[in-house]
Amino acid sequence: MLVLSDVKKTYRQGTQALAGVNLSLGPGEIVGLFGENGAGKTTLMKCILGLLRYEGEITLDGAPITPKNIARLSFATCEHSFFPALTAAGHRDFYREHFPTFRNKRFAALMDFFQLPLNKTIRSFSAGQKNQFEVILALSQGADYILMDEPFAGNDIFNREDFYKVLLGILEPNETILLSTHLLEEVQHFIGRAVLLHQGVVAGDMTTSQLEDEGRSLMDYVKEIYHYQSDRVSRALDQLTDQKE
Amino acid sequence: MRTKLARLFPAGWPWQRTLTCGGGALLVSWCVAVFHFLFFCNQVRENLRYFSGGYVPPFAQLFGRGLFCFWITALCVVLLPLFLYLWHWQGSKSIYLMRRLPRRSELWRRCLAGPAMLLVLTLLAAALSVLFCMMLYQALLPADCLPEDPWAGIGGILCWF
Repeated sequence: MLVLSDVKKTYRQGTQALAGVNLSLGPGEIVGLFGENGAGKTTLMKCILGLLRYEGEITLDGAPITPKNIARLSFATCEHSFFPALTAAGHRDFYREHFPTFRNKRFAALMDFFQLPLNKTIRSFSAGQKNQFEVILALSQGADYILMDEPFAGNDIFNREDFYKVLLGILEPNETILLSTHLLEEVQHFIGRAVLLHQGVVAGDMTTSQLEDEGRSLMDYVKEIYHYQSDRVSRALDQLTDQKE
Repeated sequence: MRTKLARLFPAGWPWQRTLTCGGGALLVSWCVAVFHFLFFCNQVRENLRYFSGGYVPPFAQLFGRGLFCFWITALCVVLLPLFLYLWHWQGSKSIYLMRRLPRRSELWRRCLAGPAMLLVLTLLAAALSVLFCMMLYQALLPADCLPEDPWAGIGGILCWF
């Protein structure tokens, strides 16, 4: 269980990115992390991974995250964390060396599925292929908790669809996914739980089965939490039209 | 061997090119030190031939600033870890991966081990060039013209720029 208790993060310039996040992720969950730009999604993931200093407590099965258990977390980011000048095979060897639970079979299968070349440097890949490779590494590391920060930014719809299907097919019962994305409608059938961040705090947390029971879509839920004003576009257009006249 | 050398630098870093450049710099530094010394040795020999009462200065004085190029090479090698560290921001944020490795020292090891090896090689090559020039000093200059203490101030060579 990954537990975040009152996690706060304030950047040097005074911006408070996280204002006391309380969240727990259990084994086998597929959780969507949603929020507007600047809500704190990326900061939250970086705090979990120890890439940023924070206040509060983050524990993995009751223990703080240290080099001893950090291999149980993996990370796929739209900023990419691979080595551009290294080949895919080079990455496989690097991961094998540092992560004893690296899943060779899964890596080979995913590379094959996405038809990515093993012996070309990653910098020669297209934008979509780079994203695919980033996710392949995160999935193959052998981690129990896989954090994904907008991993499909720049991928076409067919690629993304394929990925969701493959993910659902290969994930083992103990593997947890925390997926940050803006593609609400696309992932609503893939995730089991939606966590909404707003101004650095958890503004909503609901399972998709609860939403289904209530007859609401994920989009409706998000709009409700964020107090989305559906008439704001028409009001803005009216205003603009008046100005012209 | 190739794998072992590659592990001394960040993953994907063109270490072969770094070692080639380092080797080239050491060769040039060695040649500069030896030819610089030979040039002054030759001047002393000419003086001894044409002027009575000519003398041979101590080795350290004759060697002068022969290690200048080695110092420049060493300075570049000392700055190399900075470039190796910044490499983890080039084209991606591989720093994220390096900072979440179970072996925390891996990032620093890969930034420092290669330059440390090059620095040791630079110091060794500099020491060898001094030794070689000391042999030339004894072989090329007449023994009866050498000063009383030909090796006086030899430690100062390292400080001379």
